[in-house]
Amino acid sequence: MTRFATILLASTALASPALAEMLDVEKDELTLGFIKLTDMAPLAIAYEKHFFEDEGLYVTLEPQANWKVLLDRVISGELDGAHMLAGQPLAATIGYGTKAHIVTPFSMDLNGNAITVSNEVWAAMKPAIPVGADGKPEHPVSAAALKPVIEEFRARGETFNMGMVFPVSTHNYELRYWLAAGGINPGFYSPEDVSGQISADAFLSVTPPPQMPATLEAGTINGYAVGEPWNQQAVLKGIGVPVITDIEIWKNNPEKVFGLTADFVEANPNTTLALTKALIRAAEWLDAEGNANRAEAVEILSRSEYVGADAEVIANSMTGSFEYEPGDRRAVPDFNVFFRYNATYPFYSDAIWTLTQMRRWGQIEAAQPDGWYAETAAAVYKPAIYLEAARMLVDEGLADAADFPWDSDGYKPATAEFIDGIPYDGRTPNAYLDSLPIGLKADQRVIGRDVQG
Amino acid sequence: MTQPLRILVIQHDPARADMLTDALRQAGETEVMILPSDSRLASRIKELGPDLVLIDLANPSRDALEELTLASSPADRPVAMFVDRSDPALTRAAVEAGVSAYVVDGIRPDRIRAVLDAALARFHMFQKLRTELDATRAALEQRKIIDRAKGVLMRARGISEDEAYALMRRAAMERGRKIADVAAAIVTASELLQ
Repeated sequence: MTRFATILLASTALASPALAEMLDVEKDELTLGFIKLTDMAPLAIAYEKHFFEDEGLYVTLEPQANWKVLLDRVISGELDGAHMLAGQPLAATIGYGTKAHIVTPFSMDLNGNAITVSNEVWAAMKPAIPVGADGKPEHPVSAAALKPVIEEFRARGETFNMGMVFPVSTHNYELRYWLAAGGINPGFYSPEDVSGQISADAFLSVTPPPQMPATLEAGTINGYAVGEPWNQQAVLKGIGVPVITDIEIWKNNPEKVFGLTADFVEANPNTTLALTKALIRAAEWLDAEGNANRAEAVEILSRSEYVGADAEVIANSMTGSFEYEPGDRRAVPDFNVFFRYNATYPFYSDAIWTLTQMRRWGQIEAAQPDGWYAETAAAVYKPAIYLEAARMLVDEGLADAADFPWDSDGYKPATAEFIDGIPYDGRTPNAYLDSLPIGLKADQRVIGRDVQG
Repeated sequence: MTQPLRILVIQHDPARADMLTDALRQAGETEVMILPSDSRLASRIKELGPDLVLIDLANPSRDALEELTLASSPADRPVAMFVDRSDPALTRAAVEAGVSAYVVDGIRPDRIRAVLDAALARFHMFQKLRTELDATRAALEQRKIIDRAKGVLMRARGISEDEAYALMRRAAMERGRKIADVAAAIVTASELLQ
């Protein structure tokens, strides 16, 4: 049905506004922001496939210099909405960094990140990594293999530095999760010291995604966590080796969201629905027919106005394979997931996982009751808007009712599909925090250079 | 006010200028600059870029009043004028020239800050209205052009109004242009082709 409708739209070109009852949008000219990363794809596809237009929206897509600028411009109203790190709306709403009430009715994708280390570090890690029957390193690679390398660095009087894209980025939390699961302390934040390097074994700092490979090459950092195409770029340039993808750290973890201010959503409810409808269709298109459209998506994304990287590099991850060591190319069909597994539904439990990691590493300085986590998630994640948009698409014959979790209460079932196998249940964040190996627990706080309590 | 207010005083009597400066300093956080009213006034004011211009005229002529006000660019920054004597025609001339505060009967040091604050508030209110008016006018002008372009497309292609608008929107998005720009191009082209 969806496929038929798509063909109908394409062949009758501009007849589409007559197909369905159009939403009476409060604002029909919108400027949306993004960062040059593969996972901005739903925005590019909604634009190129005319899904925005089908909702009566004239949209301008504008690349932004970095995540902070992007958030500031959404808050100021220069941008009506943007591609955001899942942690950004949550951090802004609880006032970590710039304070502003940001909400999301649409989750943009799952997975899509990896951790890359320099060739030198990889060579030093390799002896500690078991080799499989095929003669290749066994996956997933544990950070335990990195621990002796960091100790060698320390013995030489050098710090072991790693790049991540933003203090409240999924990359920061995934990198920290992986390091901690291997017995490496990635450092704490405190209200006085926001470097995130208190008590650290590995020193993490912010580097903008497109600059990761060059910063690694320069030796300023020894590894990094970033989205595509910046891990595959390191392989192509021969300057580093991806050691693990984030799907192996936490299977089907939430990555980007589409963020808007609460004020915008309140003042423009129909526009918000229209945007959500267009984005759901774009995500559906990206995953349709077993990723059949991905090659076309790669061509679109490679254009300078979107990601502006080599199509070959973008294609690596987008078309279901991932290259680790040069030549060690493995199938990772779910490296980028845009629609299947209810990827676009904004789950409260995903928001709460991010909040637990903010608490674990001290960005949230003091303990909060479980109820606070649930309330914060509900203030930011808006599944009701998502389902209303999905219902309209189903009624218009543009989406399949079977693809949406109509009866979900916003919490995914508990899962232990993490690299260390520790179960996570979004309903009990404090019990979860207590179960994690390194990190703040119960009433602990970071005072000065120490964890106390 | 967190930032000190940068006030430019235009005055040629040094004694009165000192009195004014003292009064302003006592009135709060201010940075006071003084300029004589000579021929290079307009460019000097522009260089200094004050938050507010204060013009002190003992006995203004209509010409002097208009010239000084104009030099102070009352559309870009608030201008407060203090005069010792005035008449209804002069007062009207001052307001029409765009001053934000026109105070007759000289300067009372204890009242000066209140007058300046009122001038600032009034200026910002007018500036907001002016910006809104400009935006509304531009939007109305765009709307007219878009309507005309829709008409051109509807006649030329025998399509509905909604279809004509969707066609323009697509053309705009495909070229990374504004809908109003595409509409203007259609209107211009149709005029040339007639």
